[in-house]
Amino acid sequence: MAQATLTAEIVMNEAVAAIEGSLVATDVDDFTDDDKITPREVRQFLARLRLLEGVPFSNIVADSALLPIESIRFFYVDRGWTDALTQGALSVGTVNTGDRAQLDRLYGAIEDEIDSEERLVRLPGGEERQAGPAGLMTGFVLRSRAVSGWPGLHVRAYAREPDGNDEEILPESHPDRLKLLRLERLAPAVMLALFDGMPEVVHIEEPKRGLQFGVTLTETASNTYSASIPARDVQTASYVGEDGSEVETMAEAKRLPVRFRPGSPGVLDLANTGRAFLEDDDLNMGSELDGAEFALQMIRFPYRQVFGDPGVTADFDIAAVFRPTLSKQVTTLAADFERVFDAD
Amino acid sequence: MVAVGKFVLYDGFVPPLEAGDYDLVARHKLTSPDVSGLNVETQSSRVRITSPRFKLPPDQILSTFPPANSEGAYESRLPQIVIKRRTMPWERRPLRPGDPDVPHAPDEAADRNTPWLALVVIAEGEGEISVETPIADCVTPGVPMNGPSDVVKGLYLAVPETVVRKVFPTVEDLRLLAHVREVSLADTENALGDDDGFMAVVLANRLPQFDRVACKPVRYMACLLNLEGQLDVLPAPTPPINTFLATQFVFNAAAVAQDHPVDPDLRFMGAKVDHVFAPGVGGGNLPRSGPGTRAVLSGTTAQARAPSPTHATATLSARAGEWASAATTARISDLATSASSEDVGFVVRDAMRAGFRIPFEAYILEKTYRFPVLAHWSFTCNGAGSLDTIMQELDVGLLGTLPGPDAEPPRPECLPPVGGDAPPPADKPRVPPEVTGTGHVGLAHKTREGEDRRAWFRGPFVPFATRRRHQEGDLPVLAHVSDQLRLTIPDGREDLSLAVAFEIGRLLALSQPSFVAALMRWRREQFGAERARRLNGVLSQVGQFAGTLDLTLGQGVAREVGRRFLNVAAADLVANFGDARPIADPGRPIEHLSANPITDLANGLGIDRQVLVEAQRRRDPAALDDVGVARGAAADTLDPETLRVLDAGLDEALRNVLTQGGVTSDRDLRRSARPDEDALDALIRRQTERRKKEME
Repeated sequence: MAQATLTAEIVMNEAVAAIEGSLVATDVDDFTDDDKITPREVRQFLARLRLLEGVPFSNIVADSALLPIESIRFFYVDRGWTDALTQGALSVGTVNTGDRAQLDRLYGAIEDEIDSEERLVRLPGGEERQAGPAGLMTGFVLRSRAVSGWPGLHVRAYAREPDGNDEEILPESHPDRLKLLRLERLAPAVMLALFDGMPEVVHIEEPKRGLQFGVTLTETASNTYSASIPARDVQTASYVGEDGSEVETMAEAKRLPVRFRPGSPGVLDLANTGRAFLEDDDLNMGSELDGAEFALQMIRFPYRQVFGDPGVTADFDIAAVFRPTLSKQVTTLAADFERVFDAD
Repeated sequence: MVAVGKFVLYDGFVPPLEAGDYDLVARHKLTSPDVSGLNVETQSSRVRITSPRFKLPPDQILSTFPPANSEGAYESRLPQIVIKRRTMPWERRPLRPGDPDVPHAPDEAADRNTPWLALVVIAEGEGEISVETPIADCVTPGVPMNGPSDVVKGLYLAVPETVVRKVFPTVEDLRLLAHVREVSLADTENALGDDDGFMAVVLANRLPQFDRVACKPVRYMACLLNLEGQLDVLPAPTPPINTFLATQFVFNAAAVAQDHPVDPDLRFMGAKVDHVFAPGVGGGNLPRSGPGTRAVLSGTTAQARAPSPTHATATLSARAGEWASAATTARISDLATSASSEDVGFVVRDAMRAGFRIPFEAYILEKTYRFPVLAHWSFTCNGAGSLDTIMQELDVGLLGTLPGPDAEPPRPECLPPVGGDAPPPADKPRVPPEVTGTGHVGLAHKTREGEDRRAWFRGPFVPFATRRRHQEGDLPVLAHVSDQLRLTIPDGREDLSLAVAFEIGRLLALSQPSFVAALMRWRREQFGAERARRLNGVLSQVGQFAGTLDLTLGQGVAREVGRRFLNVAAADLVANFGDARPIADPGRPIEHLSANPITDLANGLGIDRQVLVEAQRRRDPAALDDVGVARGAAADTLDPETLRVLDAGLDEALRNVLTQGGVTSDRDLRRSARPDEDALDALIRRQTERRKKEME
């Protein structure tokens, strides 16, 4: 055992310095390499708690009358409430006054770290990570048959209405789009969404489930229906108006009639419907109709409900965000295959 | 590469080779001008190109529309199935060599672009889905099914000729119903978990309709069929019409089976059967015998002798029918959640087939066809509650708004108003809850004293933006117990919102042992270090430790620090710790004794007061020796037994007193050196003498 002449102070300082080093190096942020005081496990748990994971639903919505059947309720998240929640979790293990005094000192730093951790709970692939202190949190609870009947509804919130008709769906990292902090079905018919900010409009869109194909049914007489589809130019995939010119929205497009098979309600006569398409020169169909061209005409866009200022969204045409294109590449591909086999 | 949110449609991907067995023959020809006979042995091997034939592997199904077991307004949408492998619909040839000629569209049929798969949508009662059946029986008898099969047993769909003629696609249609879609793999919404971004889509040719006459939902089964060798069965093209009458119906075997039970045995035994029906329905309006009984119709082509009257066996009300359908959907959902994971697929599929299980071939006189089913799912078309109607009828508001007039779920317009035997509407809320504009709800609250009160509660969701507590400044930033967060608001009730939140957070944390462990570890390691650092800061200011101090590393620092601390502290106890506490606290003064205790004492003891006064003045208890004490009876008058017990008791009491007084007497307790003085007398005497000495 080494003998050394030391002051108590030196011994203390040495000991403290050794431990103090590990106080700083508890954890490192994965993205910014910043030092984190709070251990990762604690941080992640508290961040998920902030997003109300595991909180009993009766504590979130205190009375069923606040969320009646077939309703959507928007809200602000009370940060005071969620802070109380995290404080409750942190209080576990503060046994004596000393612990509490220390927690008091550290609490500010812990809170800041959880604030930035909130955005990391849900990280969609292919999106840039967003950072910054937590601000206003909003969201909605939707209790409807739409939730149970259409699993996988898309929810998007925009701080500013995406302008222009032909804009694509903005990625989550876009400044106009609000990050979705949580999107979850709490019950078969109850959906909870939390947004990182204050949305101007919220879009709830039918799950695409691949695209859908269909027609517009019109009742012409009692229980008698006719069907039509908006005309599209198969070369450009844009809508065609009555005069054969390109139009922007589905509403302006020329309607093409759809034929049915007699005696079988709802059964389409595809061949004859297709022939009618071919006869219409505006569609640029060429001489032969194939499955892709037919499918292009029959595409029906998923329904999108826009919540927000009705004035802003009046002229919004959902179908315009999609620009399907038709390709003829298949013929060249098939030719390649044949060449390989002809070599024998 | 396709951009996110865009997609490309292709007519189809026809693989160069269709599925089947092939001989791969490799011949190598060597020629040389000099050498002859350079023969290389022909290499021959057998190759099998596999492809699903009777059963589509579940991983090949990327999505179906409408979703399986869903209920909704699908009247204007074509059902579809999305298949993972892009070449799937073209991997087989629907018209194989040797198959009967296709009368209607021979050119189309011979084309490799014609898919061998068709998605056919049939309503309840239009066909039968079989149980697992050996492959050979899965096709219409007489159709050969040669070549390798992927499974031993499969399912088939048995449909009468009428249904084929009315519902199945024509040969020409087949090509239009299949295509390939390319999407970006980065687009998780559209890629559906595909591996290469290309997927085959097969559409149905039928818009599912709900029953507009009886106004009830109709359950449909979508079946992905294998058409190999049966292209000739498909219907001939018909002159098209521009409108369809939604009240027409295609076929219903249920009514046949229900209203006219036929002994299947008779039919199989070749007996003459009276009650067999094959409804053939012409166009136009149809006579109906009443709602719910899709009675057998003697149409123009009826081959059956209908016994009159076709009285309805069950006049189901429209409402009841609706409920029956809802029950099926609910039952399937129940099964899906409750069945064990191994057989859940089987059980759910089995439940979905309910309603498609009428033994067709036994009842229906006309020819029935069998088609192998590669995949099937059921859905319900109910004519109300499509997503747009549901969404537009949503009750929109901020949390805290109470519902308006009781909102009914959307229903078809044709449905009669609720009444009669209809089940009662859902219960209205008992009493409208007490809700304030701030989103607080008044709730019953049982206090810790057991008192029933009402308290305010508000969840985390509020109808206006709030500030965080430390921004408000009037509350402690950090609470340590939930009671710190109980608020009393001006109306006198308590607002328990934050206290409840605190408690939930605490309980949730406690429910996760790993979190508690992490917290404790952190506290032990990190907080301990912080504590040591601060202690050191304080100690270095004291100065006592500034001087050199020999310490041997390895000895307890804490012990040394404690010793030094004690030394410092003991130097001036009063300064360090304050005044010492008195050894005993004075007792409470007794009221009536304060006046003149002597008198009371004298009265109590029954002696002359003057004696006591004198004794007190002289401070000599010996003055009391002369006081006569009333004596009891003489000892010899007592019962000897009693006396002995008393003696023992006295001895015991004496011994106790002496032990406490510090006197040990090994001699007889009640005997002493002096005459008539026992040990107790000696003790008293000694104490008196000591007291006298002290006074002097």
